[in-house]
Amino acid sequence: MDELDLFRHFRRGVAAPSADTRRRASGRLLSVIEEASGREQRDRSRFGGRPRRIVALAAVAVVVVGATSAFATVRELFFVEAKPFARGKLTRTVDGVRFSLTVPKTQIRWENGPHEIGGRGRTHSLFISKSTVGGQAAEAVVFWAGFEGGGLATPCAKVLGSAIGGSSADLAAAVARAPGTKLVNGPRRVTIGGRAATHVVLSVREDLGCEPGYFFSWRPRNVCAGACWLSESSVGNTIRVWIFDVGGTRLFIDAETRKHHAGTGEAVPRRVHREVEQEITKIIESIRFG
Amino acid sequence: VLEPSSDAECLARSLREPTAFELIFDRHFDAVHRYLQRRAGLDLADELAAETFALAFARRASCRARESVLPWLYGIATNLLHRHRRAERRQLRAYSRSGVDRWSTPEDEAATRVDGSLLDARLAGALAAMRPRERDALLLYALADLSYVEIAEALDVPVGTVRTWLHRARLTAQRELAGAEADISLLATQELI
Repeated sequence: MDELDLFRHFRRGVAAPSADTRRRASGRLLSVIEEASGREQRDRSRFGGRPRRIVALAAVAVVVVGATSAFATVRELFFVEAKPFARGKLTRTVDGVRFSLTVPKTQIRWENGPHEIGGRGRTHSLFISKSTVGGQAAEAVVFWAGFEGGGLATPCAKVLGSAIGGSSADLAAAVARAPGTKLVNGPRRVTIGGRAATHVVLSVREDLGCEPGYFFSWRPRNVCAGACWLSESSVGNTIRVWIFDVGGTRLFIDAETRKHHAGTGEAVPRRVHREVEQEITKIIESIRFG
Repeated sequence: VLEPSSDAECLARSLREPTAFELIFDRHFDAVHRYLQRRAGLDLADELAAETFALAFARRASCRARESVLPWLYGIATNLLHRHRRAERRQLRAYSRSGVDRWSTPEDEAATRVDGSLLDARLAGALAAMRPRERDALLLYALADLSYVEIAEALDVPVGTVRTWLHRARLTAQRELAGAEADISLLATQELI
């Protein structure tokens, strides 16, 4: 018998999922489907039933964060399907912060990720990403993070802890000291879209178990919230952060690039890596508020 | 309304009619849950199986499956497991050392918990010694019964990479299972019966 076939017997006697498990999973899926169906109908009525173009590739994530309290409260959030591709000018409102950005048209396209909808239909997060090597791992990432209701943008809650002040500067300083990373640049003041922001660049130097991403925020039970990311912040990744204070709400933008595929270790070609970084810069510079 | 015959058709229809995705759930939930439970225990399987389908629905436009979407679903489930890979490894080590599988439940078949426990513990030790992606490839092969091509599809890597991972997994298994010939012979005998 082949050694590999021996593993076919590993825990082979597990019981089938209970009816209750099935019911709960089905209910969760249905809520996501119903949300998507409602939006499809709205889209159809708005665009006269024009069929959507379907192609395949990337995603963006946005999460919004409030400015005052220490931790975001756990709440029910729903994944909502987004149009598959992010291209051209996109307008988004994340927890009351309205902004637009322009995603460049590139050979490997940027893809919209599912975004997070919480109570009262507010969008809490959204992300876009693209995969330069492989697929689901999404080697190059841009995401926006924020937390409604005074939560904290916690760069890996496991390592930064909660004692961070409520201002953008406090948060930027905490990010710059994030354990397991090396500060490459900043914190420094920059202006984007006419608004002052604090910019920090980090390199991940040590795997501290910040999964699925270094700036993963919070994760309510049974819901993939925050930047629901399938990949990890691997050692060697570069993380670029911009933090805005928009009317008392901190808008947290995180762009992450990797030089190797998280799963296979396959190298991202240097030229491709450079192009992705340039695209991220263009996206960030294209942001306009209001 | 005719029910779509293949997963691919079902998925294509779900882009126009999102409710068509429910058929994918009906067809594959048990298989995905079972795979997750064998890797991560019941509690996590409940959570991640539900998450797998919610995420699959959100990403269905990017699925390139021509027939069954099961390998794709296994791929999503496997990637979700990555968040818990340390816990998985710790548990495998503990199982290997103690011979007690803390993740088994009273509902699991008693025969497996008793007769299979000795060999299972040895297998757990071998799995703990493997690199995460080698373990993923092996368990997609052994637990999910995927072919090399399907594993490549699930993990979105070339088939050659899958072959390499499984080759390494085999070497690790050979090393870690050395001395377990008696258990393996017993199992082989049971299989023949």
